[in-house]
Amino acid sequence: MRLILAGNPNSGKTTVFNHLTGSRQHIGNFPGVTVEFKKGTYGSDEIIDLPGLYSLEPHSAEEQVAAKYLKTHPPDGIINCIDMTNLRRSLGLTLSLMELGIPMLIVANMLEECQPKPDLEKLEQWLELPVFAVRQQNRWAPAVLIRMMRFEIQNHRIPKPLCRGGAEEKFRFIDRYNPIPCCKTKFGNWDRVLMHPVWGTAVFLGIMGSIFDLTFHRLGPFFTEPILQSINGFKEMAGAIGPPLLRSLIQGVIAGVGSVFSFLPAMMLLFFFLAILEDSGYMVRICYLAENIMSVFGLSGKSAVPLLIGFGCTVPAALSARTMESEQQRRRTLGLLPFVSCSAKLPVYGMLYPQGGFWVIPLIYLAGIAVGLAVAALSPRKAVPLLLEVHPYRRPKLKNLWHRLWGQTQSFVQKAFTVLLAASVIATLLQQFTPALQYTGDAEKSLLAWLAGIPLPLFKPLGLGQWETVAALIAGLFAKESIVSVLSVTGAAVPAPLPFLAFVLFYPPCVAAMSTLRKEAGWGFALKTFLLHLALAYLAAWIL
Amino acid sequence: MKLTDLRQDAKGQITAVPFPRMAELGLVRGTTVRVLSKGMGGNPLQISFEGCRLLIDRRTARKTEVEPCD
Repeated sequence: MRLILAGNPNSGKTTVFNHLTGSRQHIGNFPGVTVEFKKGTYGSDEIIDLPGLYSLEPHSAEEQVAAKYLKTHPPDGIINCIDMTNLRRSLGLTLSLMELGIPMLIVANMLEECQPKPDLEKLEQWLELPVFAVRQQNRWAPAVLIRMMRFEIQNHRIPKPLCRGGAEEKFRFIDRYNPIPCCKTKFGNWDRVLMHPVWGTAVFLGIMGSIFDLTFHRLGPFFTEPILQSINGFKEMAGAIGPPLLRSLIQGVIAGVGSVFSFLPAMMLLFFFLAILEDSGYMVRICYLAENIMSVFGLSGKSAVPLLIGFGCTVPAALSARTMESEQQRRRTLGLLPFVSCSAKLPVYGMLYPQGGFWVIPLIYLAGIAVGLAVAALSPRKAVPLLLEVHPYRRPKLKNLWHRLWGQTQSFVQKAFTVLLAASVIATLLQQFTPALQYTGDAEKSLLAWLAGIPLPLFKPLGLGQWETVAALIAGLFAKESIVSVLSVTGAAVPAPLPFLAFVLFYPPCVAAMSTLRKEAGWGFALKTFLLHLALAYLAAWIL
Repeated sequence: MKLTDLRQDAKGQITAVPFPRMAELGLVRGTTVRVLSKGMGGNPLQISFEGCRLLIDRRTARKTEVEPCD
């Protein structure tokens, strides 16, 4: 069977998906476009987790592709996840899904948060659909759900549409005939402070400050130092291995990949904290606090979420902008993302300012964002509506956090053993041979020095007239962590840290990020972004 | 009356919405909304209706017509 999980955003689809498929899942793409969806298996059955939908008449890019996929690639069955604390709104999509003529069942989520407890039998009778109750997360049997779905499919039980028509007709129908009373959702009193214009902003700054402090100052270095010591130990051991070329290659790879790996704990900490902010529901409160100030720069409060995710990595941040209904807002947010320093730049900042106080790196991050907002303010704009649902706070589920953290860590480890390994090997080899391909022990006469020497005159006015620095910056276009790798391999110190920092802060993002921007907004946008950031980086480095 | 004219904790019944997206979120004519809070400068508004809470920017709220309730 091929089953699709459909429901409103935050209705618990992904939790159901993770419980059904466990680790047997991977990220896929809709055909022809790059909207991502998760695909997994349960036995021989394929399970697809669609992005959240409010209706089949979608607005955002993500919704459009998901709705189109549902219509053009009809599954064998639909598992419609419903947030029972928001039954009325969820039923709007349910009534639309029932019109598709595909066997369907309802998964009733968040029942433990409902007061009074809804009568699911009445819901079953009214919709004439089976309802699977999830009373305790991760303690229900996937086999039962699959068996129920299989029964619907094998007996060709097609849902009978209850109401055809637009959203207004559907909600009038729901208000008139829905037998389940609206339940009181417990939002708690946290929002009195956390959504207060003054106190809420102070708390938000405090939370972000704490995240940076823990990541870069207290916890991060606690794990980074032992890794760095081990790497130096391995390098020394490699100094006794065989012929000079092999020795140099091994030491180069250990230095290049290892020096970046030492920042993996800090990156994982950052990913972890950002995941907690998302899963707890706090991100929406950030959008509320940010709306007023973002609107000054022609952006929406919703843009705050991709910006925060961009602290981890630009690629998922760009993908998260797909939830924005306005194409113009989406492109403005995408344009801002390269100004947000991603975690890949962390090793570079750490290398330049190893003894800097915990405030140094946040200051660097803020500088990038400030310039980005200034650029956004200068570009033409059109007001777009903000319509964002606020959910109750929820305790983040460790299993979901782990899935998210593992996925992002896997990406980084994959990058380390592909791009960074290649960069280290190539940089080391280029450093061992002259342009005439003769082995040399003098790096100044190497092919790497010769290649980096070509654009070198352009960098001399910036105080960066060292071939090692230029080689590192070129490598950084492929992966920002490569900057540290190449500098480690060549053993060079950066001649002018401040201009180098400014250049790294503003110059174009890595190939993966540029490729994502190109897919999200087209060649023209990507090219303009590339040239703008190259010019900005040069200007900033020259000024400093 | 506009949604922005409602004070905090005041209720109103929707009579017209400017965007179809609002209807898909359940904000249709006849829905009773309550203004929970307003951000800095009155932007955005946080409203609640039928167990749901929504953030609406001030410009959209200014285009949303309501009939005040007691």
